[in-house]
Amino acid sequence: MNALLEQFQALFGVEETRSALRAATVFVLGMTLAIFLPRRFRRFNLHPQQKLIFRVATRYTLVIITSVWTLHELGLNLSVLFGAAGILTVALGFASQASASNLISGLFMMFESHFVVGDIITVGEITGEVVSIDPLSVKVRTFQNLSVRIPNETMLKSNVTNLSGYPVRRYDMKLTIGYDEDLARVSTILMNVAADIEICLDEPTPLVIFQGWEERGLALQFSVWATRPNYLELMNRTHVAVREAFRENDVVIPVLRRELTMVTPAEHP
Amino acid sequence: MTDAWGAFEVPVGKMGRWKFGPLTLHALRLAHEWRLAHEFDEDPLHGAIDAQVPCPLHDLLGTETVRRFGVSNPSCRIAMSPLLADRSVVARPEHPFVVPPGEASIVYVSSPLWVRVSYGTDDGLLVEIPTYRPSDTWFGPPNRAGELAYSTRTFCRTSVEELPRRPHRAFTRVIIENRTPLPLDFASVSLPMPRFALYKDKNGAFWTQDVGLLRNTGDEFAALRLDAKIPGAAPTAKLVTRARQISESNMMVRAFSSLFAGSSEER
Repeated sequence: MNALLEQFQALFGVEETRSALRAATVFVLGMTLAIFLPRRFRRFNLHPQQKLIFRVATRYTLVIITSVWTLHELGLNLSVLFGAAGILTVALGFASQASASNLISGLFMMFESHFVVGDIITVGEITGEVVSIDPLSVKVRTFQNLSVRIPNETMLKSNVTNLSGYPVRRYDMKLTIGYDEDLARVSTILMNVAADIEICLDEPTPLVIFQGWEERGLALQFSVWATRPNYLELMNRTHVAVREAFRENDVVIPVLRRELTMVTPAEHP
Repeated sequence: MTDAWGAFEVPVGKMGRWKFGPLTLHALRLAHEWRLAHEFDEDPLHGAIDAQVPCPLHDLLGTETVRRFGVSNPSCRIAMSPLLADRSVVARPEHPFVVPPGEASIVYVSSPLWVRVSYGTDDGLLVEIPTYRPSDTWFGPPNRAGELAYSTRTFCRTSVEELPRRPHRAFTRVIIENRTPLPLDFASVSLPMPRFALYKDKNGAFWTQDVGLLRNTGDEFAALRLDAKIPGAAPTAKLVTRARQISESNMMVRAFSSLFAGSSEER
């Protein structure tokens, strides 16, 4: 070890070797801390979103401090470096407009916190659970178990629907009934269907809304509420129960029928 | 008729049947297993309460609600104890009920009991089943400020003598006081069941502590006061089950007087 150190000193001089050793120590310690310290946030009783923010912030701060300190120990003049960094930033800025835009969008999104890790969101065609909100992108796990990376800039410019925003959700079922049906009677049947499904909330009250006259018949909207965990089950059960109730009460759901008549050319010269 | 509440011995290979109003519960004891199944009647107010141990055997595995519990405890003891609901119960009057200005009124509200099925000498929990599964409801605005509750309709009976005998339901005496110059429309009250203890009087009726609902001028909400004392209508009632959640005495809980004023405009 001593021989190695002497060789270094002979090559670079005593002061330089010390600087290099100090820099190496700072680098190793700093990077170790940057890797292991953020992991400790996992143990804290915080929301996953807060843990993520703390982890990312701590890691990046430690990496920057370690890098600057290491360079300082190596004897680099940081003011020159910062000057160069200014020019480099301009160059990089042009080259990495998209990344910078994503980064800044990411910051805005974190402050806005319209959704957090664990929420179910819809962005454009994609619906899934937010796995992480990173400086450049948001990672979403879709219900088909696909991992989708959405750039932060896209998120900021798009309409993001947070399906986990409120604890209760309304399901709107579109129905068409025949023109001959008694609207009041159908409305009562639908309300009874809602009352019989125990996961369908009494309040907010279910709604039956007349939506207009259509080609096939009268268009109705039947709206029922459920808590988020019961939403899918309510959707399925409502359809089954409505169909059953209509069948029992002889309410007709009209089907559009087209008749095709084959005509021979002889009949139409 | 045997009281269905209490402890029973179901020998290995035998089955018991319990009826708590609308709930019928079957329990089959096997060498290392308890097998439970239940079903509900259509009528939530159906009043019969009965036990038959042992009862004729039938195949529980064919029923939808069957649940199997693997146990090592050789004891054949199974116990049925009453519990209050695990969430608040929102009671809405069957017919509009109004308290005129300066008046106070007492109404009795009933809510379904839960059955705690436990086994062995240590009373290990097998399952908790409602005697009737009430419909879910949301109490408060449809955002995070509200809470998930069970819904029940009440006839708002105003005297104890009128109360029907329903040993599968618990009665709560609600004292409504209107100190405003306007009539108070008693639209709904959320009874925080997990904070209530359960009492049983000498006639076998179940009671919770009283609730006071006070509406003052200028208040958007009526203040709900839980009375830590024993039920006012059944002063000799004995404590059967402690509250699921510990709460301070005479705590104040906000009760919404009217719900979702704007919901009918939401399309």
